[in-house]
Amino acid sequence: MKNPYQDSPVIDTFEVSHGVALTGILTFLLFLVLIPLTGVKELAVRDSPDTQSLREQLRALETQFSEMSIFSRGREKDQALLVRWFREGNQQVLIGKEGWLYYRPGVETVVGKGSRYIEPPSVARAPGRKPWQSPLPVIQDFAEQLEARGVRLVLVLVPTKAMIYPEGLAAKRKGALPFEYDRTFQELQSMGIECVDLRSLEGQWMKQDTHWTPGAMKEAARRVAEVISAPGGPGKFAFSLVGEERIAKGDLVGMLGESNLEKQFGPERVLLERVVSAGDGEMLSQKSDSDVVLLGDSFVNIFDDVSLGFGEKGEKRIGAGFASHLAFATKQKLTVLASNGGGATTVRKRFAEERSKRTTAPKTVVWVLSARDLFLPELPARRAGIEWEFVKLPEATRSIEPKRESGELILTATLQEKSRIGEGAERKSAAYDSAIYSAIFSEISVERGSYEREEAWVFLWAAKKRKLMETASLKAGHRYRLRLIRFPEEGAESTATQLDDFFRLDLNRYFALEAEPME
Amino acid sequence: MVFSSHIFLFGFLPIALLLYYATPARGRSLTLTLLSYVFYGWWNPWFTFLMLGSTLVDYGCGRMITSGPATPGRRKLGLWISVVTNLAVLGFFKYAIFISGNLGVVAGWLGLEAVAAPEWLSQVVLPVGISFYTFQSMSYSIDLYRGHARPAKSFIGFACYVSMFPQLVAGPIVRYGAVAEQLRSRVHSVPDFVAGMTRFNYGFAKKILLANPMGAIADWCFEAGPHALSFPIAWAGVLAYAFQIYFDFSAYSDMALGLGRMLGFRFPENFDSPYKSASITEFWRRWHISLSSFLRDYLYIPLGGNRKGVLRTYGNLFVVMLIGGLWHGAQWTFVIWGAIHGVWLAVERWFGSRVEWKPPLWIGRLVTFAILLVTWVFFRSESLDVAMRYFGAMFGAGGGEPAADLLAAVVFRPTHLVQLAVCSGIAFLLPNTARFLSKLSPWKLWLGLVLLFVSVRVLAVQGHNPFLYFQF
Repeated sequence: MKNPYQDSPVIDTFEVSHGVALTGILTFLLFLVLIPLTGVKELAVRDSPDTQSLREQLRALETQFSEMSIFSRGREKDQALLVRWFREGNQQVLIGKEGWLYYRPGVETVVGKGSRYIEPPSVARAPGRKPWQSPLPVIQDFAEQLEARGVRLVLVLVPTKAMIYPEGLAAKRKGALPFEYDRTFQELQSMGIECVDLRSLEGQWMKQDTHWTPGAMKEAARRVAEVISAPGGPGKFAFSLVGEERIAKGDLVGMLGESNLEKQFGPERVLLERVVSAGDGEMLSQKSDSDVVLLGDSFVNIFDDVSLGFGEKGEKRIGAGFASHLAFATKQKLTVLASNGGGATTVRKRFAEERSKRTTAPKTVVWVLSARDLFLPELPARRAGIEWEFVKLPEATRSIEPKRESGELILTATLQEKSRIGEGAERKSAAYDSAIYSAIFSEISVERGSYEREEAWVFLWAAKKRKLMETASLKAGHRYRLRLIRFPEEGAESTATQLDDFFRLDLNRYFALEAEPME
Repeated sequence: MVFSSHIFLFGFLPIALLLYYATPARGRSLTLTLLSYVFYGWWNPWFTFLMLGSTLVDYGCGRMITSGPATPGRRKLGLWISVVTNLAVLGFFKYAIFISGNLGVVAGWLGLEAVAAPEWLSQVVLPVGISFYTFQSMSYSIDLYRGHARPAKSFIGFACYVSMFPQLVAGPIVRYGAVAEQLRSRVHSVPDFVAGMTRFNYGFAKKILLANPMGAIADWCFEAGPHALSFPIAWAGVLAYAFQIYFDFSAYSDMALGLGRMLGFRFPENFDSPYKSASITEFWRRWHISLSSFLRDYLYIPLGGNRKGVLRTYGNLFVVMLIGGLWHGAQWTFVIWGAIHGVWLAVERWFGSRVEWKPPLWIGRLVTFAILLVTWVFFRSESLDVAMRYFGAMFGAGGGEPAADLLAAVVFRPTHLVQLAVCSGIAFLLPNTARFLSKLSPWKLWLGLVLLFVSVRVLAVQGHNPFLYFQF
């Protein structure tokens, strides 16, 4: 046996003329130098991050560098080419056949190792990463806290598109379930949690969107209503349905970038049924102290929150979402706490806050949870930004409404701390195009209105349409003039993804309409 | 900062080249050292102190070994301080969690109450490239002790050797003797710069266009649950990983050698078409050559090599590969990976010494590649459980559930199949980069530049793409 490559030495010969060599070097160097020169202006005006850590400043510079417009413009064009020529998506979106698109974490939910799987400890991990918290203990803790307060929990598990319609990805068989799906269900039930299993849901998911069709959503609402209406009988309100056809670009097309992909992916066309009061035909409003509290994510908000598409110009809410249809099916108004991408933790935090302010306890909590949040294993869950945290509920509802600072407030205050905001590419490929973040302000002086606390918990816009807003660049240690309102219970701010690292039950939540830096 | 990032290519590299060539010849080593500390500190500025500490210790030990009254005791002390310090640093950062975890397991077996590891231990993060520069730094003291190298004439020259950014974080592991002359004076020429630049461009393209797409396929397969893994998926996954790790690591070496040459250095080759090997013994002459020669010279030969009888030779091969496996990471999977290689090296030696018949070349290559695929499963898996489940799928267990169909639809996309075929063709049929570029003609130069431009555009649509060997 003689391997022809074995031990034959490499001998260099140079067959390039001096002129060609110099031209090659010049081309190489010009390429390296001219590209950053086009972005010097962008880098010069960049916002330095508020962190004091040199390491994080370097990371931010690196991100800023790779997000220079020369690269981001090219990225969108190249992504479009990859889609057209090779049917290749990106880190978020898988391209199926006949225009079907799939959210990658939704597929990973089905084929992954399941949420019980935790990566072994390693020194090679990302520095400063929090240990992973798997979901089941958190759900159990939440259920126990609710039970101790006499509140019933109904968990509604929404399948991912890949579970319901795998054919779009050219899979041969239907019925793919996440690892240990049945075992997890049984465990949840053994914890005393009533579970609504929607795996057999009729109807399809939207072709270019992560979410269910109006038909599937309505059927889900009907099934949930059957479960929660049983003990007390149906409610007393009468609603009626108004059908409307709407079109929108699917959220998955948005995740592929801003480039012109209309030819590949036409708009999603859906027939919505808006739920209105039978008497005056007005859109259904929420009730802040309903017996039924609905917690959920974008599966609750779709067809209601205009930031998820299907809205019309000037429309603030659509009124055809899951909450409306659950209200229709149960004939009662609901308290709705839904945050896009926040089904795992954000909504429980909001529930804890709301509960501390309610005068009466709810009887039932319906928690609509995507199977993605429950079954994704650690690595893909981290990539998808899913985080499970224990949330302690207040001991009891308050008998007297706490003193609330009301009306519009104008404060001057120093930014003490703000939650993390994804930047650049991370934001551009984020699952939801709108996000708010929170910040704690101190050294407060009141210009208008009344405010008596030493700190203020303020939410601000981080991004709209996947673009960072000016309010995202507030810096710790700087003073700002803030025009605030109490955090709205409905509207784009209440449903947007919350990038919130703080959980301050001792403070009321405010939303900043304006935040101007002070000289 | 990784080579395949915008900040390196369009920020650090042009500035580094400008500063380096703007510095008079005498000061270039200092400039290169400072640039290398900036490069290394980019990950975590605090880690530069670790590298500086290692450099100071080994430089001091070198002086102790070679200058003054070089008594045997003093020389030996210098050597031991160097070896113990480097291994202690490496041991702490790389193996502390592994050791404490395993002590807990052993204590459990013995029915003892295990002492809980301190909380701060779980926060220890591996400084990137530490396995490479501690070995490199330590080899200096050993070579001085053995009389295989002369002491560095200046601290700056030695600091430059330890920290040199082109090969600092993932090799090749360069011995002091190989670059000592170049540290003192090196030739900078247009042909060298062009050859280095072209090598860098091909390496960059290899990483972006070959390694990263293979990594994406491998990730789907190795992150899959047992219900979704089937026979074809498992083999496709390990095949993709075999190509990922080869193209990834050899791409880094290409870039390292290319950058070195642009700066006037000639580093030793680290790869020589390893998948064309017809035996595991040959594989280790072609794969990560600088590590295998390091292990041979500093471990295998001191253990006795093949000079102490047949059984001892087999034992030495096994031990060396076991340690080589552990060097890659503090996991049992790496230990087993090394053990399999060690056993196979011994088997080949035993077989070679007793059997005259040699199999045809293609059979040798096929068998060798099959063994490598099996061992890569341990290398890629994060735990033994995962590896064993993966093996189960490779040998026919599982795959009956619909989830396997879904994963197959993702893994066997036409683009993935084309990418796998291209990688196979390049790895098995084409000459490697070093041989391909050994005769540098204009079209190869321009092709390299075109590949660089294309790769930069593709890089923009790819996500985070660290080099695999950075974690070792």
